Amino acid sequence: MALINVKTREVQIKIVYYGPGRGGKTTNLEYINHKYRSQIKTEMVSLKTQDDRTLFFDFLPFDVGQIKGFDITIQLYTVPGQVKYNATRRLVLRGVDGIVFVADVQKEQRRKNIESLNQLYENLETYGLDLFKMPLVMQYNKIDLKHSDIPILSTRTMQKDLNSLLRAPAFEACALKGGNVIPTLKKVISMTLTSIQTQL
Amino acid sequence: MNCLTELKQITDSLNIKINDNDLDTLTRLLPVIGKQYGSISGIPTILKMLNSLTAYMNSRKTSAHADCVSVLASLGTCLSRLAASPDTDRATAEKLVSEQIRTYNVLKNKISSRPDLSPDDIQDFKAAILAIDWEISPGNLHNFKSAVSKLLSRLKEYKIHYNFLKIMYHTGQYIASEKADAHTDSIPFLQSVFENFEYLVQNPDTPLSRKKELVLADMKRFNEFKTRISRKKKPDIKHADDNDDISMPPALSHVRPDKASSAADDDPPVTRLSDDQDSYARDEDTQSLSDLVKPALAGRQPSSAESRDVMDDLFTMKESPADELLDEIHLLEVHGTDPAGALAQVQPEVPDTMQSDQIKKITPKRVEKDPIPEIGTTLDEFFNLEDSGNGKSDAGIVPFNYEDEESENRIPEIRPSEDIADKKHGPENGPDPAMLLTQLSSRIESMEWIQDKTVLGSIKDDISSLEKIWDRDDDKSALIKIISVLVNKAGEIRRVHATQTTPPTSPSEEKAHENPQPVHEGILAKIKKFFS
Repeated sequence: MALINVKTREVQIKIVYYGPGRGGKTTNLEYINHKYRSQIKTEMVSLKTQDDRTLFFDFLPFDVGQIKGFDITIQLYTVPGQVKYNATRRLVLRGVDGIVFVADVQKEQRRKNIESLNQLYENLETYGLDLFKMPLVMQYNKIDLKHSDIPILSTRTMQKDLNSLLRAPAFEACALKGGNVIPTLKKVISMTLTSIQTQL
Repeated sequence: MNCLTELKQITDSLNIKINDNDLDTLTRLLPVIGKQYGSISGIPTILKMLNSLTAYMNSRKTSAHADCVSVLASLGTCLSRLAASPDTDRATAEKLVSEQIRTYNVLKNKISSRPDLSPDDIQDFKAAILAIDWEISPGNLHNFKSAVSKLLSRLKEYKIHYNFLKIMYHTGQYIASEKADAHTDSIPFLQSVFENFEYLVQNPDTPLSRKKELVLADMKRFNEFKTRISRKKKPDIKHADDNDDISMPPALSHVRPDKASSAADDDPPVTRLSDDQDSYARDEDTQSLSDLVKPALAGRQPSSAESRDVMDDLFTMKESPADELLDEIHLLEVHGTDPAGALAQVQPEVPDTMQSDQIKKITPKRVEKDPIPEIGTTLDEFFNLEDSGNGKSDAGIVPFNYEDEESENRIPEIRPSEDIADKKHGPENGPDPAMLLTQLSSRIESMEWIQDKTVLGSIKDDISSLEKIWDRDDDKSALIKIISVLVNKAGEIRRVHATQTTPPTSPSEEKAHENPQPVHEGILAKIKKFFS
């Protein structure tokens, strides 16, 4: 949940990048960290396995400036994508304010995308949160694979599979090269702040 | 020679050294003894045990259990005693036989339960399993496979141990094939089977019945696990087709079944990645990206090479929410447990009533209303600033293209490393007001524009750009108009002075004036005086 400190005039927002393993969640954060490294004063914490997979989570905090006189701090987290780490995923989701669901457009990942989103819904439920009501942005990552031999799902299929019921803002993306990474982030922050703007 | 005497000689010989000749002779001799003395009470039972033991020794030869020969000799002695006294009463005979059965069973138990495994063997195997739990990587899977294969070949004779190993081998094969997609129970199951296996190795005196109980229970669990896996795989078979058109229930359709059918016909909007952005992205080298991200807790790594004490970390000062989250993960042992319930023990949520007036906790909700302009402006200001890194990586950044952003003020990006004038006219990055203002100020202060029409033109361009940027800001627009008027007036004064002090010039001379060449000393002095 967003923390608003009226005394110190600070707002803290927690955004979680969620999605199936190897989907590009950490790559999103790495790109943001790289792109805005001059403005992001803190270090990105990344806990990876030898195989370069997220073990616990990634963490990237930064301040975006002031809104209505409040300093806005954004905390970006990723969850581990591997199936066996659901307990950690649930823990990372505690107190989440906005979610970016990073889906993989590869055809072979279709089922995993759906399962991961279904699991996200269930995990949020344990905290009494409703995915349908949360600030949520869908990101269809690895869209650049359309130029390779790897079969990918059409954006229409992605939308039908993942977003037909949620109807959240959606972005095609290429996180490795930064395509639509920032618009995705900006959108989710904007949605989250819009939700609390009357409280500021 | 009496067959009983021959039996005695063979057992004596085997006691010195187990050899094939004696074992073959014994194998041939036992049926002969059976024919001669089989009718005597107790002898058939003794012969059965002798036959089994001989068969075992034949199969293992010199690697047979060390107690085999003594048990064989004891059985032979008992057989000779019963054969020598055929009138022995039934009770005495049964007592002798039961004594032999007990000895025989002790040996049997030892043979079936005491594999020759060193603690290192078990530790290596345990390490391989723990490594898989840590990460299902090809290296870890390979280590596990070699460890289990090694034990399988060594423990082939120990049926119970062998069955444990077979269960682990097949579970490992399943994990290797599915890798990260392996059933969440697969690794805990593997570990539990190993625990039972380890228990048997470390407690060889466990009664055979208990050992059988353990292995049968694990075999049953393995079969149940296989059923669970096959159940999980069923949807795969159904949706194995690669075709996009294959109907697959959309995510969350089980939650909102009423809306699932209608929603499928209506596609929500999506922001696409244009071909330009995409093609550029393909070309760009982003190898440096991951290099720039420091490894986990890199800033806090101890300088010494000693291993890190995780428990000690739990009591250190927490520098960020990430540290706290990491502690919770450690404390709750979340991998494999449910953290939600236990979380309250570690960090109970502050009830709403406990929240002070100064700290509000709000759960954001998706709302239909538009963000206040300040949100868009602040985020634009933050995200549109570019770093001073090399242009190559920056050039691949995709400009914002929200579907709902048309009404927002778009503040263009700047590249401090590039020439400002070039940047201003860049196709993707519009001029930055702060930089334009600095540029305008320096150009006016330099006074070159009084001599140089090109500079004057640049000043007017800057003013025009700023007017466009600030056309919605009345105060700034008014100020920039004042500057514009002053510049124009100064230009007029310059022209007036020029016409008064210089004779008419030919067009070629006028052209020469437009070039950045020094003008007449007197005019310059006068104009400078005017602005000073």
